[in-house]
Amino acid sequence: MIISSLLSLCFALPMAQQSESISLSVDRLHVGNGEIIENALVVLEDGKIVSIVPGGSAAGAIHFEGAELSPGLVDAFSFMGVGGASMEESRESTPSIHLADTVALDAPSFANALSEGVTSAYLSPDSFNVIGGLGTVVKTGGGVGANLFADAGSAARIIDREGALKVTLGNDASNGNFTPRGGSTRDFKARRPNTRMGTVWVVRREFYRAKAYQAALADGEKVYDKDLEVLVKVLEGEIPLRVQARRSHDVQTALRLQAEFGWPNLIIEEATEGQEAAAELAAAGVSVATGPAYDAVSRAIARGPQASELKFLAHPPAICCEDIHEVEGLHSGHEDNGLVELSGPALDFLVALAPRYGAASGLNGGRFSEGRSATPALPALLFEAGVSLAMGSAEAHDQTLTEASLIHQARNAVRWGMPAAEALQAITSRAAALCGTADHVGKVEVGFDADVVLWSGDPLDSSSRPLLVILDGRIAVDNRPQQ
Amino acid sequence: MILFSTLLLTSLLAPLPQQDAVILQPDAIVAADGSLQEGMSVVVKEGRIVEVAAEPTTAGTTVRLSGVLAPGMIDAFSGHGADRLLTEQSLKTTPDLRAVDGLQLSSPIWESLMARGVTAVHITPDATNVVAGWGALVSTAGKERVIEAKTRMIGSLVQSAINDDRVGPSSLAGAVEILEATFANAAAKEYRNNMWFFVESAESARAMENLTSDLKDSNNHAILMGEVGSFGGAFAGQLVGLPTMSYGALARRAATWELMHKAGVRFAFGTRAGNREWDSLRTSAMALSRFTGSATAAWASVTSNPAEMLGMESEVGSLKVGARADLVLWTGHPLDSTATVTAVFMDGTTAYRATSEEN
Repeated sequence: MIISSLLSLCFALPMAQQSESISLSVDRLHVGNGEIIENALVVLEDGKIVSIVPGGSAAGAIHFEGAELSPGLVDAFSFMGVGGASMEESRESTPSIHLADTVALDAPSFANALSEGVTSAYLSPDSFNVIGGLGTVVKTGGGVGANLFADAGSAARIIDREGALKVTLGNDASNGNFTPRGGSTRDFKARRPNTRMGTVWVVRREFYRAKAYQAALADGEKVYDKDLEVLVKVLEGEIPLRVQARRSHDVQTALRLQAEFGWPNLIIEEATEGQEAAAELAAAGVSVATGPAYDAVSRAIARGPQASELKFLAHPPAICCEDIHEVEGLHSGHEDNGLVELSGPALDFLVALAPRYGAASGLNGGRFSEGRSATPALPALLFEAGVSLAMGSAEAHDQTLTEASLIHQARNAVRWGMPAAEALQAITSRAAALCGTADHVGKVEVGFDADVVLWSGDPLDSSSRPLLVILDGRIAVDNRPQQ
Repeated sequence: MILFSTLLLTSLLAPLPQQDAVILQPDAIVAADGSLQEGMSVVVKEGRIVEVAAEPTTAGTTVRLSGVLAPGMIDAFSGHGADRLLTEQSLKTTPDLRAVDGLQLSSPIWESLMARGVTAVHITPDATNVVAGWGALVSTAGKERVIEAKTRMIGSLVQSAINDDRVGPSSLAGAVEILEATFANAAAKEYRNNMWFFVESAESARAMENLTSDLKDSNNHAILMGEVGSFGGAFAGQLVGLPTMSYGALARRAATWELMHKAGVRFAFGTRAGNREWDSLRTSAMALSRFTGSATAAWASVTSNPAEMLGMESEVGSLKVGARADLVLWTGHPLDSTATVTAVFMDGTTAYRATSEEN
């Protein structure tokens, strides 16, 4: 409860003014590359990290007993601000559509993510088309929003319009399509593909067209096709290709297509059953951006929502937390850890009203049906097999689901066997590498962007929370206790 | 007295429309900044303003008018007078469509608008296609009703255009794609720098900015629909179209308009998708005046701003020399809620005269 009200406070305050210089004296510094420095003085100036002095301290530096500093978290795969406006379904292949043109930079998801320590993110086009368009890389704050009533600097800021090209294998791209025999031919949803084979056929068709186009360009022919221009950039490795593949055979299909077309820069998204294709992924040297891993997904489907899964209702967006005490039958037994114990009629009431686990967690039918052997141990298993991975929140930050937020996924990964240093890299430097921003984001290093999070303790300890989130040298979230 | 003056004017103008100038001497005129100026005469010849001065040098017949003389108001974007819908939805883009072809110029609505001081109406196609068609500027009276048959091309990034299950697009992204392809086409040269885009969200506002930012000498403008407070900040310092005031969420609207005014946004009110009451242009300007404290901004929003958006500021919307003499005689300042229209002069003659009962 205390945590929640602190969070709400930080939303209510205007963004802090541009500060010339911030000095942080921290007990431990997580550099973001696995390295840890005990006792360090970190100085931020004009949006950059200007000095790191091991063992240093300075008068006037911000210091909290036991506080640890990490790089601002990097969300390797998310749908923040991505809505129907960004998905053009009148064709199944739309490679040149830029998500950057239509993403909602004012969306509240960015503030949610920022409050959980996420300072930059890759935003993915949605998965309704086979070739869905170009994703974009953003900082989660500091942008100029259009909302007249929002605080200055609260909108996300685009830093790369062409972060990667999205391809979707599996169910999503054919969901909702029907054959002309089954429906009106006047509706453009009477389109192909209807099957996994059809989906792959579209990918092949487009990339063979791109290869022909590439050859024509090499022969000096004067041709221009904006869609094929993008695919050629993918073939040449200039734009990374992200393939959403959840079932293990979808992952294998992606790797087979890579062998066929020689995609130099392939990233697998979600890889929900990726542990079953871990050896192939490692052999191909292909990186994975995982989606949120949930405990025992299949169990949730079988038995519906359980009280333990209703945590999100007891831990709702901060703004309503004060009122919870007023509901009869709800009482807080653990005010210090921010959770509310449910019992009696209130619990019955909530269970009756509660959406299915899937809906509550932002999981769609597709991810359930495509994650039959999903396991929370996926990150650990991929790591053990030698696959380089980063983590993404997918829709988690849209719904203030703190248990699915990026930092919690890293914590879960550790709980299920991933070494802590690896888990932290998967949400910082490795994620930045997948976003194409590894030269200035994802590490606490001199010359890097001043995106840092000061945690109340070890960032991967579930009782730790962000005391300060600093984005481009500005204090974006301030949860410091009154001193 | 008022009745007498207007009768006199009619009788004087009727035999001499082409030859002599007429010197109109009202109690006051409404200047460009919305203020009243006393002792000024407006000299009209052949339907145009030829001089505005305290002591005009042009020779002519002097007519004394009791009341305030103002340029007629302009409805910046409107569906008034449309005979059924102004759209053609069998295609994604309809750049050859002209709103003027769907108008009912004999409708009694035009006289009703005149009675509220409106002398020109910019008719726009429905915003149901991403490239919807040409608007037309029509006068509410006169011999030649169509002032300009092809004014601005109407583009649309709102739901009714970007969510089309039959021919597409199905999304804002698809609409952007279609517009990019359209702009790359040589046929678009005629209009791509002269478009008005209907927008309704921060995303559609940004899409419009991306689409038009690399166009040179662009006269493109936006018409802001929907919840303007959530995206109006994208148009700081610009001249935009805004639907006339409806009465929902009044406090929020007042705050929105005030914030936009502070951000240097200038408005041109239109009745399409807004309040279509015949008096709504004037009441919206009055509300804007109250919300912002600026009578200048308010008066411009129904006169010079729509004219500027249309690129026709030398023709309509002011008492400039050379402009059409589309003049309205009011009993007081047009933004004074007690003022009513006494007469409308157009084409050098009295196009409308209030009866004494109406006054």
